[in-house]
Amino acid sequence: MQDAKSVAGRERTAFIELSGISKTFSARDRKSTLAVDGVDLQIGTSEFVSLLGPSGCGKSTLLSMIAGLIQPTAGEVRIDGKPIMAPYTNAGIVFQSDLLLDWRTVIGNVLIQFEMRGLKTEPHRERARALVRSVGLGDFEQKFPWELSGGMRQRVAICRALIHDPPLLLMDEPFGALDALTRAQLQIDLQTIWQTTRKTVVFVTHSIEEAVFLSDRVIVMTPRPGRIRDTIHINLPRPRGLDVRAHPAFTEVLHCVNHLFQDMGVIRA
Amino acid sequence: MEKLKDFYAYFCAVGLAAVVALCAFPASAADKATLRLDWVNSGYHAIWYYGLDKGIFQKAGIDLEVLEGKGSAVTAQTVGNGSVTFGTADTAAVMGFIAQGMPIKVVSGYLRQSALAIVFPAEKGWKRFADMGDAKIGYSPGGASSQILPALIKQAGLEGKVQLISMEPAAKMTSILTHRVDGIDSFGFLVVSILEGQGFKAATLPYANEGVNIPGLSLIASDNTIKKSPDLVRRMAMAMNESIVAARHDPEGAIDSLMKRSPTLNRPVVLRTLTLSFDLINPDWGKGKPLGWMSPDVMEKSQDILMKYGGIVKKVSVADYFTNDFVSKN
Amino acid sequence: MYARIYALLWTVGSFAIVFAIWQTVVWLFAMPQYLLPGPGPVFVSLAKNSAAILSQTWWTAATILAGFILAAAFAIPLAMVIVISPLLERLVYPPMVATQSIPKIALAPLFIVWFGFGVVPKVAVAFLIAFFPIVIDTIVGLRSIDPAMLQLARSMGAPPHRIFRKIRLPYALPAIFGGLKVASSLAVVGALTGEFVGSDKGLGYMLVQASGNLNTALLFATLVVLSALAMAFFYLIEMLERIAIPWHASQRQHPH
Repeated sequence: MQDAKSVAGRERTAFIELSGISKTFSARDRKSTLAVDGVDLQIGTSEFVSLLGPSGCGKSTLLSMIAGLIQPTAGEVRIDGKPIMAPYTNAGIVFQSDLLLDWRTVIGNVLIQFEMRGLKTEPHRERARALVRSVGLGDFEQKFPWELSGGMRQRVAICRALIHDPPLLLMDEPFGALDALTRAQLQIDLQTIWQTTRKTVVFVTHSIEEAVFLSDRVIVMTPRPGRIRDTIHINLPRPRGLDVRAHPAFTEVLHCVNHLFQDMGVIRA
Repeated sequence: MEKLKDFYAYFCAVGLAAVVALCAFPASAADKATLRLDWVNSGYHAIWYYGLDKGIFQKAGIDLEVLEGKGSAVTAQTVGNGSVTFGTADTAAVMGFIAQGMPIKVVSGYLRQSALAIVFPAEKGWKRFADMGDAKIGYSPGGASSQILPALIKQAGLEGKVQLISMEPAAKMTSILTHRVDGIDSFGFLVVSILEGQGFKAATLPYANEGVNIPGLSLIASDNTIKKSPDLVRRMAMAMNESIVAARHDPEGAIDSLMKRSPTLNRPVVLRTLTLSFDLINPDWGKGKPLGWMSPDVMEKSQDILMKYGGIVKKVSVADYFTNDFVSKN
Repeated sequence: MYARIYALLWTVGSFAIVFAIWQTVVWLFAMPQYLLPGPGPVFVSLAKNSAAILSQTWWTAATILAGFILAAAFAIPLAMVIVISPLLERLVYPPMVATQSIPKIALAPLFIVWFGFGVVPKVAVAFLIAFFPIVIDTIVGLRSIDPAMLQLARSMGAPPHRIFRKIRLPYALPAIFGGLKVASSLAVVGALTGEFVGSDKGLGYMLVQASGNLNTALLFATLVVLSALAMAFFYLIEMLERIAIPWHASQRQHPH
């Protein structure tokens, strides 16, 4: 079935479409909070998009709405043309906390993606092992989460998000809890994964550098109530190595975003 | 495989034989009965075990199971609700329950003299209640005597002088041994022997000498049992009294029977308790009457005392408390 | 291997020190036997009456076990129900907390009259005392899960019952075992209380008999056996915990 848009110019159909999304949280005893206000956003297939903004700007809320874990107060979320009314199970989610189960091995944790759906895990075991090997944890398959470092645990979480080969990857500050070195390494690893698999990625972060390094597009959000302040296209060539930070275009984007934040009062010079 | 079959067949044969043999045993002709004592095993309970060992109950056609108890109140209540056939309990406590409507009765007296007494170090030399002066006396609230004691203190003119100190039953003996109190209110025959076992010479001020002689332990049964199985009740009362007589003639043997059931008891102490308890079996008013006979007159007076001191609130017919139908063969 | 022997020696040593202090106090204050017997007389009594004490120990042990198992069997499902259904929580929780404040010692004599002198009232008291901590700790354990974990599970398409079984329940096990360990010592207290108030069997009965006859050495000897029993039970639960949740931080060797 071909809709008008794709017939007209063979444009990429928006894989994710947010129209007029608002979210108000009401507490019984306190006043209600407007977290997200009138967001319109389209994300194309295989795009790597970052949501960048200060704490409390609603970026995590937005991500949860895309995932179908929260319902918007106004507006509509569509993924692949279908409206999202319930948790969207064809995505892989990675949170800031790895949320690995201490009583399961690395492989066990990865395979839980299938168990939770009531599916058998045996057919997928080899793929899980390959995936775990691909992130450098081949020797740690049978280890338990407490035997791994923070960075290793987060890698397992990423494997868990990829094992069922979802077209969409949703990541909420996945490297926020890691040290700078591990963080840098994982950013590079994530880039590699994305380049190999070409999944659509929506990435939430408050690190300008991280957003610019990883993304095709950076969506800059205002403080609460969260609105889209600006969209910045990142035209840096890929693969982006560590030295990309020296690239003039990188610095330029950095200055641009910093300026935006200063404008919004997020950073006060 | 063959061996297994053989074994199986053999097993079945033996099993069958056992079942047949058991069925072949005639059902015991004896009546099953349970007796709940007033407390855990002590010297005076030896009469029961002696009676069992000497076959007295068996001869009377009673398959008796003796169970230790936890106070007259609980024993009376469990006889009343039918969970045991018989019980031994303090008569004053039993009368209080009967007046409240509990369907039980005394079917035979046992320690018909009151055992209640103030126990004190012998060297104090007290002869009457009035001799106590401003002593500290340990007592247990809720015990058999806790309502009568304050009244007796008043009667002796010691109100405001004697101090009554409340304590757990178990603490009474150590309190007197450590001289924390000058005397304790308890069962004389029981406590004197235990204190003697600790090298402590004790003497008693019996309530009986102050005019309060309510009978002590008695054999009780529920009204239901009396109505349905009068013959069993008679045989039980007669067997109990026969055991008492037998034990008096052979206290050492009686204690042997007791020690078999409770090997942790101190033999000389429990022997002394038993012999002291014999003094309470035959009161003056029982002369010429069968063992275990209860005097209507004494029971009437006892009710008056209990009513006066609050143990009984509503007066009932004295015949409600006891029956002498079972203490003799006719 | 040597580490174990070493630990054992430490345990033996600490007990030896306790006994030495005990004996010194007795000697120093010339304590009479009926007030505080020295360790010597206590162990003589223990040896002399070992058969009697041992036969009573089985009764108490059975009562404790029965009361504890019943408490766990009722408490854990009740806690699950409370956590899952807010309506049932509002119905069940307040009366449960209210009845907890009733001292079971007060109820025990009533149980004796209602249920007789047998095993039922003692198991009932042990059950009632052990029940509450298990419920509370299980509720805490089930509720202590990171909400993000539940979000993750939902995004994996898991129905609520599967989330409960595969994630919430294992997460709650450490807390549940905490409650079970507390309940194990309370079950001992409960069984003892029941035996004090009405029994002709068990270690509680032995204690009543010993104190009533001023046999303080036997009293202490019974107490020694009683604490050994309680300890054994506690360590049994700990062993079960080790098997059930080897993955939990409390069970692992601490890194240096």
